[in-house]
Amino acid sequence: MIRRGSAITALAVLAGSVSLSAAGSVPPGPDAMLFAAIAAPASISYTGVMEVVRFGSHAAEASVYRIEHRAPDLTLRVYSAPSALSGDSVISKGDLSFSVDARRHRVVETRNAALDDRIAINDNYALLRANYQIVRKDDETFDGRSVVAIALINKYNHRPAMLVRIDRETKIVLDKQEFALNGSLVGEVRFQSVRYTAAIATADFALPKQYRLVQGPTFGEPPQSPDSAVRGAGFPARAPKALPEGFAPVEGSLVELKGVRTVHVLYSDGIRTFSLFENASASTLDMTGLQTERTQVGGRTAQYAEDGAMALLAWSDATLHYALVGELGLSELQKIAASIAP
Amino acid sequence: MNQTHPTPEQLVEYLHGELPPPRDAVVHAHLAECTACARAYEAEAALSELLRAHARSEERELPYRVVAAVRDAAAETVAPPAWERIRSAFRPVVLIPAAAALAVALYFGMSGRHWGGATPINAAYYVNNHAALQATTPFSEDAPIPATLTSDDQTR
Repeated sequence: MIRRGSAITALAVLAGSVSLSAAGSVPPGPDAMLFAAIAAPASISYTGVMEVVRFGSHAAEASVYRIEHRAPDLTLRVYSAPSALSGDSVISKGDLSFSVDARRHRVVETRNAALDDRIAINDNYALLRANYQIVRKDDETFDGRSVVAIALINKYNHRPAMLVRIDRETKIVLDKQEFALNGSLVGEVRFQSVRYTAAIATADFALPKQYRLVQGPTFGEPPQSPDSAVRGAGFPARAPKALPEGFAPVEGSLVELKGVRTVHVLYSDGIRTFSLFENASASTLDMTGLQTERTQVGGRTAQYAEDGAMALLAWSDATLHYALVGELGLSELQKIAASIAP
Repeated sequence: MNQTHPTPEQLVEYLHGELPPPRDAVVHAHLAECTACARAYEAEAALSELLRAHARSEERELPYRVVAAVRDAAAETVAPPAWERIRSAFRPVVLIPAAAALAVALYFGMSGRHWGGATPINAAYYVNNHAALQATTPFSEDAPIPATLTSDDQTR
């Protein structure tokens, strides 16, 4: 596992190189450009239209929304498609998110404490640099703006996992494509009709009156190291012995759902992720609404389902219940699952 | 605060927009102020959505015995002598969710012994938790369809 703290040093060095580039002495290298793109929304305000699509192996999900972002962390998304979300919006500020549900006349407040977990964010970036080659492609034009195209090539299978097109002037990502191992497109986010402006009214981010405020779930609270989460589980949680190349545990949390204490560990290679959930209580997985199929994990019956691009594999042994969730294929999930042996 | 709590039946009618406008306004105002009734309304809305989702996702035919059991249950409900109450019970707003709920309960009771005694955890919870922690990876985006806008299950 990557050592927490070493990543921070690496990022500090990168940040310094971006500052030097900004001063005009050296043109930014692709890794510095990538880091600048990650940091850009904290200082650049903008409006535009986002088109998001994710492909699963059987189905795809897509949406279109107008976005208003006021640096550093205030964002409004107003959906125009799909029709079921038309008129709905999501307002986020830091780790708080308010989903404005026009049909039900309510606002659902959720908190994602993971967004404040700088250690996990830095660890993930360090993993990305360790596992992916950052390659600058030919300069392009996207939606009328000059962009720098950067490909992230997996160092183990030498295949491109992601292509980002970064606005040369502002460092905002205007297009992002993700690819599966076989080269097929897994998802794309296109930012169009972009306009950079600091003049976004505070009123745009106000919650509608007359709507009921509903307290939604809190995620990732309290964020902690994977080891700490496993130690605090209160039962002998297990870790997979076989991980896909480059993957490491980056974050853990302990959650209690309907009285069932569950340990959650996120594994990442810097771009791709999967989660392992484990609990020891008498519980079953309610997969209502999902198309499930039976499969095998180490000779035991398991359930597999896909929700859009997300795959879920669940099974039990004599003592624990497990669920693996991620954008990995069934065969990869099965290999990980089979290595979680008592 | 309006102290007259709506009956469960009125909440169902409110949910389906079937109350007369003046009564609808009263219930609307009451829900904004009464936490207990707001919770009851949320539970009713969640049940309706669950039944709709189940109806959409379920491609299999309900077993004949389940259909027959639903019909028998409905026939028992409409038996005399309280004709007015029967008529009330036969309104679609009451009968359809009730019959569907009975069908779901019977169906799971017959086909899913694993439900007995164990706590059911919604798979969406795992998917949403994964998506939340995933936000620590560079260039991660929110899902195209936010779960908080499509699901009625907002509680932990």
